[in-house]
Amino acid sequence: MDIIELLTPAYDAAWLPWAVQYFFLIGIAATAALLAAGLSFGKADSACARLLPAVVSVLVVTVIAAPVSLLADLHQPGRFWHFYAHPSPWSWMSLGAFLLPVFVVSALAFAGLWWLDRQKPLRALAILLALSAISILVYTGAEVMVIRSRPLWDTVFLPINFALTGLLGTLGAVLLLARWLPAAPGEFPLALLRRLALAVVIALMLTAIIWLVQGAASESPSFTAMLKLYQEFGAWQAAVLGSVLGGLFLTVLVVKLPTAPVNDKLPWLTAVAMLAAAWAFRWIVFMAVQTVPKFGAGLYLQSLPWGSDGVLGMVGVFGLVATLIAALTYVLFRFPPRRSLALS
Amino acid sequence: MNNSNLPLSSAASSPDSASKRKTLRALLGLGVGASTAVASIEPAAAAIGSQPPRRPGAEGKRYGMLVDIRRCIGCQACTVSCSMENLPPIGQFRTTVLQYEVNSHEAGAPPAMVSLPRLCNHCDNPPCVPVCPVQATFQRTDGVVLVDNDRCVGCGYCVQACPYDARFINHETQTADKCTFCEHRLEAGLLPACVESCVGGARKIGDLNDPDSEISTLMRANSQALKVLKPEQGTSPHVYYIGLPDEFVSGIDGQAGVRVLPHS
Repeated sequence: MDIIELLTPAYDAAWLPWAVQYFFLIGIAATAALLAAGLSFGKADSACARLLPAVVSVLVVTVIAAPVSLLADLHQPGRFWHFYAHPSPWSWMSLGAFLLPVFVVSALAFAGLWWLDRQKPLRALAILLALSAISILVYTGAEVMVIRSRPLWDTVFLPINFALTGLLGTLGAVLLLARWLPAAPGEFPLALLRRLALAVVIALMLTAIIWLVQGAASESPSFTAMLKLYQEFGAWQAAVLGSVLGGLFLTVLVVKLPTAPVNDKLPWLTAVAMLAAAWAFRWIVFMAVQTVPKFGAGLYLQSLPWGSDGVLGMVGVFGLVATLIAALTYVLFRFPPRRSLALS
Repeated sequence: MNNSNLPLSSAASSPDSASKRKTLRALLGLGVGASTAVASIEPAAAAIGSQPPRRPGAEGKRYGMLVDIRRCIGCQACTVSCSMENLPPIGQFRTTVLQYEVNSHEAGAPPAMVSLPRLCNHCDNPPCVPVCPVQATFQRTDGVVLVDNDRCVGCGYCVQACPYDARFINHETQTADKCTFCEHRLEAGLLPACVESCVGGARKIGDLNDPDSEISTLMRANSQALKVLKPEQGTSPHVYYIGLPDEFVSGIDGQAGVRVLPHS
């Protein structure tokens, strides 16, 4: 039977670009917390210890900016307290409302202890922070994964990819932020960062291959839906090919990454590419998938408004991040962490 | 009377299981001091993704709708009367009739038009309810799924979770909005606006728990022809269709219409 749609209503995207910004920032924050927790166990002056300042800075910036985007994604942001007045433990979003403040507070406390150079309490808190970061990765992933009505989201590969691309974004952000942090020449352990980035890129490739093989073998609804989109729509072909080419480009950049210095052009390009990959993944997952009809044919036409529900909101979040970076680097120059004082 | 093929309706169940379900519902909704039953229900309600307890509704009833597509002429009287009754913003609809041109390729058969009235399915297992982080959206014991828009935070999670595109964020209230089966009219003994205005009598609403109601009688008489949308989602929809082509059950695989840009 041939079917031609004659009349359907316009359907809006219920999740705004703010959601992309939140998942971008919280993905970075959670993986930065895991990384920082691990690095805090490194020996003084080791590569791990020298990577820690930039990772903590990334953590502080994203952990403050992320909840702002989350709040703005609510159409009724002033009612955020309803989350705490009416807890609903059967909803991942409600659980998230309780897990997120714990994470933000422990991340900021961790940063404070790092600044004070209190090694013992720092390492004790690192364990709590890591657990809290895992809870954030689980809730943000599960929240989207449990939506059966969108087969493209309804797969365990989504939380895995959120976590891996989040870590990719973290490493990119660390590489970028390191340029603006007070440090002695050659202090930033670029070789360590390169090894970590390579591991993430390989993990992402493996995940993509497993997704492809497992999806094709089991004809999972998620894979089948993706295949249908790829076959029918040029925009999705472009997205898939763009992801493959972007991944290869990123791999080359990471492999070519020099071991020093950090404020060269190639580290800058690599950092931006890593961040862009993490962000673009979320843009496709949230904004592009919301144009896929649940019932009708074709793709929904959804325009990106210029105002706070669209472009201005996204620019605003990046502006907030830039402001936080500026403030933080200023503070770290004016009031260096205790350890640096002891060393000088 | 063969009603074993009736999908997922309490009216279609055997008398035995129907009475059990009624008892369960009575316990769930009214909690008539049966502490053991309540205790056995609560742990399930606490599991992530499970349905929270229903709230009190019309006692003993389970509302459902039957849409006879053969009687729908696509006049959109339901769309207009719903909009007049419930006043959603311009361009947003609690119910509307989607229209399609179909060509069956049968010898001599000309292309035909399919009109598909769509609304909230008031599912027995509504995926929109457990996702709500503030319990603003809930289901009543009579099956009606509602939104408390004084409590709704407008997170849009329920809009994503609904497989039927039945929900939207109302541009004026900035909260989730949907068909209520016109519960305010049902309570006053009136028919929902869409049912009352339907010129072909295609929409019937009624109590599925009452075997003698018009809807139950019609559903028994047409038990072989009844279909629901997206049964594979496990939502147990309570809007039933007669005359729905198989190609429309789980989504359209066809050519998209020419669309104008959405309002913003």
